[in-house]
Amino acid sequence: MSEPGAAIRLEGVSKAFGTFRVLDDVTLRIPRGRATVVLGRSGTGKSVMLRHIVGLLQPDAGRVFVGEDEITALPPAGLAAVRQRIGFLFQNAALFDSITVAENVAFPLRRHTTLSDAEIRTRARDKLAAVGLARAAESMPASLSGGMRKRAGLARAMALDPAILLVDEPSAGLDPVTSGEIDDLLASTRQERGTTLIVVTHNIPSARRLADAMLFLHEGRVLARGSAADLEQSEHALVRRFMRSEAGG
Amino acid sequence: MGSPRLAMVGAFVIGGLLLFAVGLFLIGDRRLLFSEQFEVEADFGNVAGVEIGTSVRLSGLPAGEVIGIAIPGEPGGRFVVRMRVREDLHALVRADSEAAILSDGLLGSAYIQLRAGTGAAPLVADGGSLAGVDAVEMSDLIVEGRETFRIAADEMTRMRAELSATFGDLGDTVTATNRLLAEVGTGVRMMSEASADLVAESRGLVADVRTVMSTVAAGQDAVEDVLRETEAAMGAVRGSAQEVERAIVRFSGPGSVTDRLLDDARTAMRHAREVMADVADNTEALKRNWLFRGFFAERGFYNLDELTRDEYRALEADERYTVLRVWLAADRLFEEGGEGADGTLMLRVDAGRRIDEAMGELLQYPRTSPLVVEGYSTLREDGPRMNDARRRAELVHDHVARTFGRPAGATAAMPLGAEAPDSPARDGRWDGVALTLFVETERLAGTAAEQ
Amino acid sequence: MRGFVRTVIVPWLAQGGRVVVFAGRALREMFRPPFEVRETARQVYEVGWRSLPLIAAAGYAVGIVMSMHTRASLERFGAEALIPAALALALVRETGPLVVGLLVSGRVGAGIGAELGAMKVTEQIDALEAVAVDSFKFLVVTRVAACMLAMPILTVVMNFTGIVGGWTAESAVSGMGFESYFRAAFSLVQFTDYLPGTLKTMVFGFIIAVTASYLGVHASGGTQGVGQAATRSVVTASVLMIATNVVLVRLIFFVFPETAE
Ligand SMILES: Nc1ncnc2c1ncn2[C@@H]1O[C@H](COP(=O)(O)OP(=O)(O)O)[C@@H](O)[C@H]1O
Ligand SMILES: [Mg+2]
Repeated sequence: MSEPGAAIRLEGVSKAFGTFRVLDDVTLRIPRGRATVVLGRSGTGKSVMLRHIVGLLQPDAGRVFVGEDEITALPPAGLAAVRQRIGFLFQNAALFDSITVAENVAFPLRRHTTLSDAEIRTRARDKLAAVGLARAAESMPASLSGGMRKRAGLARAMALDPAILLVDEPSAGLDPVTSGEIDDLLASTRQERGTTLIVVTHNIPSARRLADAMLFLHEGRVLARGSAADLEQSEHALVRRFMRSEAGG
Repeated sequence: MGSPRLAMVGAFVIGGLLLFAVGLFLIGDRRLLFSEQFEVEADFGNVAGVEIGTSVRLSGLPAGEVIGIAIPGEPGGRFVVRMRVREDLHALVRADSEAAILSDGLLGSAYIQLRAGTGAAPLVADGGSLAGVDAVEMSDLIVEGRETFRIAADEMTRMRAELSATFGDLGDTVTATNRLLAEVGTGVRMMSEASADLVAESRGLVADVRTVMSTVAAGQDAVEDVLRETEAAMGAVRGSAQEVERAIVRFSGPGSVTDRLLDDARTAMRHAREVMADVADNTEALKRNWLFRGFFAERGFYNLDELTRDEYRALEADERYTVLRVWLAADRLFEEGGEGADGTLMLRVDAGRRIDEAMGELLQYPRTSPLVVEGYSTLREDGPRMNDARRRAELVHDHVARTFGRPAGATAAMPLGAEAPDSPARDGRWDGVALTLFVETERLAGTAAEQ
Repeated sequence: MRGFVRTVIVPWLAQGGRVVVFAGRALREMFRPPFEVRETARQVYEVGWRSLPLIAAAGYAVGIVMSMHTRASLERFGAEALIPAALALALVRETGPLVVGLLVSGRVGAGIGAELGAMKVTEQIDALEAVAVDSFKFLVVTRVAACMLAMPILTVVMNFTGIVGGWTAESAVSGMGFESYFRAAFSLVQFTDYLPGTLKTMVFGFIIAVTASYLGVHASGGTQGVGQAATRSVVTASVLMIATNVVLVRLIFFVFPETAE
């Protein structure tokens, strides 16, 4: 069974699309209550890995655990229960574009809580305010900029105050100030609630600020793992070079 | 999903269901699903066009529908049609009510017409039965036939008469009959049955007459019997003609389709009449044949030409016939003309009208009744008197035959001289002619009753 | 030949099989709680309420045109009196259901195909799943149910506006009154025309929604894929619907033999 403290475990997970192997026998542990930053070049399977954790993708081989639950073997009802404990910010935000930004954030609350309509509205506003979007609450998603959508997506991901927050490239397309604010929000969330964070990012300064631990994915495998210092001294030139870059790409 | 939208969804669903219910109601109302009903049944020999759901009307009012048709257990049995009828019409459905299968014009569907019963008869119980009237018996349910159809029916009767007088040229006769039926029958679905019967009857008639001919060839002994059989066949043809008539009457109803049909029927009748006239001419000689002359002599009629004056006078006394006369004076009919020594006698210009008027009084009687134009003259000498009487009778007879087309052989000219006991002249004599009709006394009673 | 079978026939059959499984799932899930009532209501609004103007206008026009044609043919037989009944019978039995089916597959089928296609390619469907919502129930079943509910209602609306259209045309020619026209129109319509004719459109609604949903949910390839899902939805749904109608008509004749005149 899982060691104490592991929020998420992947055991020998492999995934291929057609003949293209995206994940190749990946095994890893994400510690509970910590922030884990996943690094890697574009197209190495970082997003695919996150999707496996919420069961949006099924591995060809291997198992995925969230806490005690084996995601890969759960019936639909059990899977839904696990998913309620996880917040997921999609790389492209994936806002529901037929409803307002506020309703996007309220959506998980309406589905999974018994709160009154007023309470839900208040909560949704608070979450939007936390990402600096209070003024865009009644806008339709289509009218937002990429960065605003990202933040709205983050507000939705955090709506249910999940124990686990998966964040796919939160600062891509954001100005440095907003990007810093998002990092602060994520850091404070982890600190105040003990949220387990997995953050995929190309923004090394941001990664340094957030990370308790780092994973470096390359060609479907975990190439390096450890603290920022560990990765800076990695035996792989690619990892060292990645760590020296200043801005995301 | 705001509440205005929810209201629209509600309006959509509820409005839709209401509209749906309106449709159900419109259909159900007609089918009387929601009113009290009782059941009756009626039997028919033929249920063409009737099926479950066929509507039932009472005196034209929508009254219910057919709910079942029981098929007879053996050939020749009758179909029992079960109907559900509105309870509020129950009071009109009596033991003497009748059911008939009618149709709404050419394209219309069949329906069952119930005739309201009389107050004297008891109510029909729920599940009880009514008399079913089959199609050919329908004529009495139709209140009024059309004048044209009556004329058509007359023509049918006339045809029969000509047929009975005309045994020659049988092929033509049958062809004419068939043609008539084919033309009358065109498009007349309802008539086809009766028409087929009539054609079959005519075929039978031809066969009968052939038998007559061959028997005649073999010897004369059986002639009378055979001729009686032929008469029976004629009677059957007359029956068929009446069936056709009823079919026509039954089929009559307002509407342009029917009118066109009437035109067709009239045309067919005209053609038939022409053909029959030809046949009559062609067979005049045959009619005078000794064999048939004998037959007519026995009957006392139809060979009037050959009667002597005494025989004729004897006929007048026959009680089976009632003699009806219309007297016409000579001075209003005839004039001397031409330069011949004996002075050729001619009809005056206005004589035709006078004769026609006189004939008018006789037209109400069966047209098969023999008509004799009696010639009278008051010339002193026997020879000229008889000649004058004959000439007068023939002139008027020719006019009548030309104008009124009486059945061949059923008219004659009879010179009688001066004595006229019944004449309006009071002196027992007459100078002129008399149109004399021999009406069967029995039929005269019927005709008089009709007036 | 073997290559053709392997590369064309087999994938085609497999696709058909997947659609059937998808349809079966939609049917099954429809009767399994929890029910997405609010979302279904929203879809009824989209599919039903918002189709009303189109259906009513089309019905009115169809009624006028059919009335004129019916008049032209029945006049020859002197059967003008049958015009309302003939029109209503044709509308209720076949024309109404089919025209509604085609209009809805055009308007709604394309809409569903495009909407779900867009949701698919922008990962909104994954996002739904990620917030623990059964996307099939939430997106597909609601639309299928809404179409099945809205279609008979739209058909009734089409039939009635069609008859109103017929009356407009008729009253222009003969000055016939509305109420007598309505009664005459329904004089030959039987329950066995009205009920199967109206209720079979539930099957049409099912076909339209399932086809469009399937193509939408399986859209791929960005914006182009969305457009493709929309157009394919209309074409496939219309063809399937017309083919199914042939089977349904036979089936209805079989169940209600008296309608087969
Ligand atoms: N559903 C899919 N079907 C096919 N290929 C996919 C799918 N999802 C991801 N891929 C491929 O897998 C690889 C990894 O993608 P992804 O995990 O999104 O990369 P990244 O590490 O940049 O997030 C990419 O090459 C992508 O094309
Ligand atoms: Mg990615």
